[in-house]
Amino acid sequence: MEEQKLSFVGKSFERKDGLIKAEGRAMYAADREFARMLYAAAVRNPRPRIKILGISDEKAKKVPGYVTLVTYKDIKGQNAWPVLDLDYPFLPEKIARFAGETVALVVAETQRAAKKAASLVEIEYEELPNIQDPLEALKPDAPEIGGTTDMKNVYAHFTIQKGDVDKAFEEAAYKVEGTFKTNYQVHGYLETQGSIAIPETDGGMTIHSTTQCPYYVVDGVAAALGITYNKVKVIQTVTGGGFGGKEEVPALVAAHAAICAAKVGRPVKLIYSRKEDFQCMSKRHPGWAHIEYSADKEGHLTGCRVKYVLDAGAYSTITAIVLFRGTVHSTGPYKIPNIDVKTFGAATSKVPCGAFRGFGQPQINFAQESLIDELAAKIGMDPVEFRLKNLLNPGEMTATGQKLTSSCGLSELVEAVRKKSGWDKKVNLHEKKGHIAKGIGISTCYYGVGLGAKGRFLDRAGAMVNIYKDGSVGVSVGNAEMGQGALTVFAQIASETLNAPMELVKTEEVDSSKVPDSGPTVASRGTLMGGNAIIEAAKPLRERLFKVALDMLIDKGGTSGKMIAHDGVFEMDGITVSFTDVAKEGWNRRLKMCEEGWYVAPHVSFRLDNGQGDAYVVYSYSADIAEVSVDTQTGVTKVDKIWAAYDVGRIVNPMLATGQAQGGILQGMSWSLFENLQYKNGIMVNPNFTDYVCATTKDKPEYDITFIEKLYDEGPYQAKGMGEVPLIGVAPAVANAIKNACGVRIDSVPLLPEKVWRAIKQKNAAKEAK
Amino acid sequence: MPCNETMKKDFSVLHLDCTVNGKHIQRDVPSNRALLDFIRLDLGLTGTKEGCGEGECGACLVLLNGRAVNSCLMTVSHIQGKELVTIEGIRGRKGGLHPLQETFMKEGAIQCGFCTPGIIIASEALLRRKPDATLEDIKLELTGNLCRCTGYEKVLSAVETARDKMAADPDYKEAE
Amino acid sequence: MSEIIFKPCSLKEMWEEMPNLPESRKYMAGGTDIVTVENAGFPSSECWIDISDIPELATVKEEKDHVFIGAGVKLNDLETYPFIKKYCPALLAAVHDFASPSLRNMATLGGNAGNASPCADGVCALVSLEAAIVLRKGNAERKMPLRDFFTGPKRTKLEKDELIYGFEIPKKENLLGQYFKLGPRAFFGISKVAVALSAAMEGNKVKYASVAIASVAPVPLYAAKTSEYLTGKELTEDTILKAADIARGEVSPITDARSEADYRRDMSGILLERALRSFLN
Repeated sequence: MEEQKLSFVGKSFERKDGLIKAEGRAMYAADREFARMLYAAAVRNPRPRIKILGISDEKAKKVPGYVTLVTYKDIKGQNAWPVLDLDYPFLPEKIARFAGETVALVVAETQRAAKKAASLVEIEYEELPNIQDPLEALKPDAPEIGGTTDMKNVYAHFTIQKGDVDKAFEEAAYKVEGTFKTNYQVHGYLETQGSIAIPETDGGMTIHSTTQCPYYVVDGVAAALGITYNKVKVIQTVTGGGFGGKEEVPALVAAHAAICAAKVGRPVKLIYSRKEDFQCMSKRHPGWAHIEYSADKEGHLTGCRVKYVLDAGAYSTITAIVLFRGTVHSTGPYKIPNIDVKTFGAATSKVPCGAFRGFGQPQINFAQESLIDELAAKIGMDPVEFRLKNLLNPGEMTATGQKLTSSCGLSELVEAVRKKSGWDKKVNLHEKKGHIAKGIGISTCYYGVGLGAKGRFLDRAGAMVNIYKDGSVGVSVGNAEMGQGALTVFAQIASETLNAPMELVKTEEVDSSKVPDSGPTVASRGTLMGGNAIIEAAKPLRERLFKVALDMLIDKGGTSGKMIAHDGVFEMDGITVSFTDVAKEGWNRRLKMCEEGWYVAPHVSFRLDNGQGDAYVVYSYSADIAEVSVDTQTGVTKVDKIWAAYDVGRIVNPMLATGQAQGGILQGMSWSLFENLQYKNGIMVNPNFTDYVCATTKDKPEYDITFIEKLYDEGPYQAKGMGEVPLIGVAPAVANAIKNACGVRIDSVPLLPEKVWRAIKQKNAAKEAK
Repeated sequence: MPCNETMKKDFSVLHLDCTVNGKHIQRDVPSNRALLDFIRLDLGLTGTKEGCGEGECGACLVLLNGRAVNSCLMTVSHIQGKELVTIEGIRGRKGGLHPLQETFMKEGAIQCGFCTPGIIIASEALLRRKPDATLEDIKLELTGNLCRCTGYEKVLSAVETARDKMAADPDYKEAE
Repeated sequence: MSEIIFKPCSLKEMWEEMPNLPESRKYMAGGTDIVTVENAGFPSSECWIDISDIPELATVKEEKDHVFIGAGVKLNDLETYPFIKKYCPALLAAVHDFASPSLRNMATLGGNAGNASPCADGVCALVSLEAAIVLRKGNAERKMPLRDFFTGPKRTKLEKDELIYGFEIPKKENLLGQYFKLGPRAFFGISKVAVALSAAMEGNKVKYASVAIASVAPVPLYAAKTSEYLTGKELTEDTILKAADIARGEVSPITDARSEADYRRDMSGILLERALRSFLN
C-alpha cells in the first residue's frame, strides 16, 4: 500500500480534554448535581456466603434524612443482571455469595445520611459453606457454590488441542515444568464507581455513569427496570480511569441507582467509597497455572501442556471471555507444533473478578515467560536467542492454528530492546555492589486485538459525524474516553478523513441514544473499532466536501485540476480555500453534512471443541527488558529501567501512545512488585490504599519505549490496538531479571521481598549443605 | 484566629471565618462539617476530588496557608482563620493558566484527570517553597499523589518544565 | 465523623469548657489517623476537641538539658530548628519516611504517640532518643519515659481528658542518628520493620547507643539489651553482627497482612547493621 501523506494522524496533538482537567472543571459523576436529588448507599453482606433471613431498617429509620430501604422486592424487571450468564442477581433474594456484595440499598437526603443509615441496616442471616481456593472448588467433593456450566463450580472451560503432545514430550531432548501463581490486581482508577439515575416522565431513566461501556449500562438498567431500551439513555460522564474496571460492573452500580430512583421517583446518586469499590467491584482474576514445555536438542519448542485456572469469585460476570483470551495466548508467542491446553474459570466465595487491562493474559504470560527462561537455561541458551529461534513470524501459525498474515514485528521488537538495553553485554555480567545485585530479564507477548471469537457478536461500532453550518465538526462515537485519549485520537481520525483542522473538531462523550450499540471500550479495540466507524461516517462527507473544494478552487482561478488537501486547507496552483469555507459552501448547496458510520470487525472462525481457528482478527506485540537491582539481604527489588518495544500498527498520536505505554508499564510493575490484595477467612483484609499499595513517583523505573509500526490495512489509518500490551509482559521480565540478578526463581506475583529473601536464604543453605 | 466567640454555646455551629481562593468567607457551618463536603457541596468547588477518603491518594489536596494538605481528612475547624486555595484558585500571575497547567496539557501529563488537581496543588506547594526544586525533590514531593494512568514520567517532566518557565519569568521570581 | 467539634484557642479555654462537653470526647490534632481508624471499625467519639491550632502545643524550644517539642508541632516544621538537627538526628532522619509530604503538613508527634501504633515512625525515633512524654490535665502535669507510655497496640497510659503536651528529649553532645525503614514500597507506606538508632561515637568507639524498633512488638520497642550491649564497644564488624543478633532476639514480631514474622525478625538485625555501619569512619 502506498504511504499516505498524513496531516493529523501520527502527530502529538494535545488532549482535547486537557484544559478542563487542568483547571479542575471536568465534571465526573460525583460532581454532577440535579434538582431534588437523593443519595443511595449500599448495605453489604458482612460474611463470605450467607442465607438471608431478614433485612431490617428499624435503626436506620432514625437517621435524619432517611427516605427508604430498597431490596429485591423493589425490582420491577428481572432480578438477574444480563452479562454473559444470568447468575448474578441485582439484589439477592435468599443467598448472598461474597462478603461485600450489595444486599440492599438505602436512600436518604444526603450522602452521609445514606451511608450512616446503610451501616445501621441489620441483616439476619445464616452462614453457608464457602470456598476460598479455586483448586478446592474444582475438587469432586467440594460444596456447590456457583458455576454456570456442566461442571460443578465452573463458569467456563476451554481447550486447545493440536498435534501429539505425549509424543512430543517422549521424544524431547529438554523438558521443564512449573507451577505459577498470580494474585489479584485492583484497578485503582482514581475515580471510584458511581452513577446518577434520573427518572423521566415517560417511565424511562436517564443515567449518568462513569463507565467504559455505556451500552452494558443500557442492558443492565433496562433489565432491572423492565423497560424497553429506547427509554434508557446513558450518558457517560468524564471517566476517571477504567483499565477494565469500568467495563462490566458500572452496569450493576447504575442498575442499583436506577432501582432506587424508580422507587422514590427522584434522581438518585450512588457513589462508591474506596473501601466499597475494593470490596465488591471487579478485579484481575488471581491465576494458577501448571505449564510444561518440551524442546528438541537444537532448542526448538516441540510441545506445551497447560492447565490454567482463574479464581473467578462468586459470580460468572465475564470470566468466560477473560479465560478465552488467556487460553488462546497461554502457550506464548511461539511456534509450537504440539499443544494441550485446558483452562477453567472456577467459582469461589470471593469478589467476582472481571476485565482488567490484559484480560487473562498477564497471569499466564507471567507463568509461561518465566518457564521459557528456565527452559533456555536448561538448554544453555541465551534467553533472547532462544526466543528469537522460536518466536512467531509472519506466515507462521499460532497455538490455535491461526496463520499470521500481516503486521507482525515480534522478532524486530526483540532485536530492538536487545540492542537498546545492551543485553548482550549485561546478561552475563551479574554485577554486584555490596548487597545489591543487578540483573536483566526479558519477556515477549502477543495480544489479540478486539473481542475475538468468544465476543465477536459484540465486535461492531458506530459513529456519527456532523459538520455544522460554521464549519465546526461534531463527532459522536460509541466508544469511551476514560483517560487514554480517545476523544483526541477520534478527532484526529475525523480531521484526517475530512481534512478538517483539529481545533474545529469536537468529540462527544458517549450518549447511548445518539450512537447505536458499539460494544465495550475494552480489549484495545477503541481506536480500531471507533476509528473505523468514524472513517465510515466521514467518507461520504469527504467526497462531497472535496468536490465542493475543487469547484471553489477552479472558480478562484485554479486550472491544473490537481488539488492537494492538507492541514485543513485545500490547494490548487497556489490558490487555497479553508475547510471552513468549503463547509459553508456545502451548506449553501444544501448538501447532506451529517453521516453515520458502522464498522463490523472481520469474521473470525473458531472451533471451541479443539480450540483451533482464527481467534482474533489481528495481534499487537511487545517485548520488554527489565533491569533490576535486588537487595540480597532484604529481598527488596527495585526496577531500574524498562526497555519496551511495541508493534501496535500505526501510532495515531505519539504523545498519547507513549503515555499509554508508560502508564501500562508502571501498572504492570506495580502489580508485579507491590500490589497484594489479601483475604482472611473469606473477608478482604486490606480494602484500602494504605495496605494495598500502588507504585508512586519514587518507585517508577526509567522508561525506554520504541514503536515499530507494522501497518495493519484493516485498521483506521493502519492502527491496531494499544491499551493493553504495555502491562502484560512486565511481571515476567522483572521475575526473569531477579533470577538473573541473584539466581532465585520467584514463581508467584507479587514478587515480594519476603519471597526473594526466603528463596535466597534457601539457596544459600542448600549451597552450604553441599 | 480561633477564639471563644467562634462557636455557639453547644459547639454544634462554627462561625467560620476564612479565605477561599482569595475571597473572604464568613458563615455558620455545622462544626463537624467535613472539609471536603464544605469545599465540594457548600462552595460547589468540585475540582477537589475524593479518591480514597483516607489521605492515601492525594486527589483531595488543597493549599492551606500555602501548604498542601489532604482535605479528605480534615474538618472545617481546621481552616478557621486560614487561607485555603483549591484548584479553582490556581492561576497564573497575570491571570490565565498557571505554568503548571500549561505544561501539564502540553506535555501529556494528564490522562483521566482525576489526580490532576491534586498533583498540580502539590507541585505548586513545592515550587512556592523551593523554586529550584530538583527532579528528586519533585519525585519526593509527589509520593503522596497516586496516578494510575501516566506512569508519572510526563507528570515529572511537566513539573520540571513549569519550574524552568517560572524561573525565567520575572513575574514568578518575586513570588511571596 | 463525630457529632460536634470544639476548637479552643488556648489550653486555658479548653480546660474551662471541658465540663460543658459531651462525656464521649477525644482530642484531634492533624486528624490524619481519625478517618482511617474509623474505617477500620474502631468507635468514633461524640465530640472531637480540635487542638491543631493551639499555640502552646506548637512550641519547640531548647532548654538547659533538654529539647522540648510540643505535641502539636507539624512534622514538616521540625527541620526548621537547628537544635533539633543537633540533638534529635534520628527524628529528623525519620521525618522523610513519615507518611507523605502533605500528611506531614498535618500530622503531629502528639497524634503519632496518642494513636499508639507499634509502627509509628515518629514515636520510634523519639524512643531511641530516650524522650520523655509530658502529659497534662488542667494544671496537673506528669512525665514518663515515652517507651513506658504504651501498654499495647492502640493502648496507652493516658487518663480520661489527659492531653499529650509534648516531648522532652535529653541533650546529648555529638549525637548521631539514623532511621532505616522497610515498607511496602520505596516511600509512603506503613513499615514492615523500622530501626531507629541514636548514638554518640568517639572515633569508632560507641560511647552511647540507643536502639528502637518499630512494627516488631505490641508497642514501639526500645531494644534495651541491644542498646546496652553496644554502649562502650569498639564498633567492629564483629560487634555489629553481634548487636544485630541481639536485636533479633529482642523482637517479638507477628505475621500479618503487611509482612512475616521471621522476615521482620531478620530485618531488625539487617537494618541495625546498616545503621551502625553508617556511623563507621
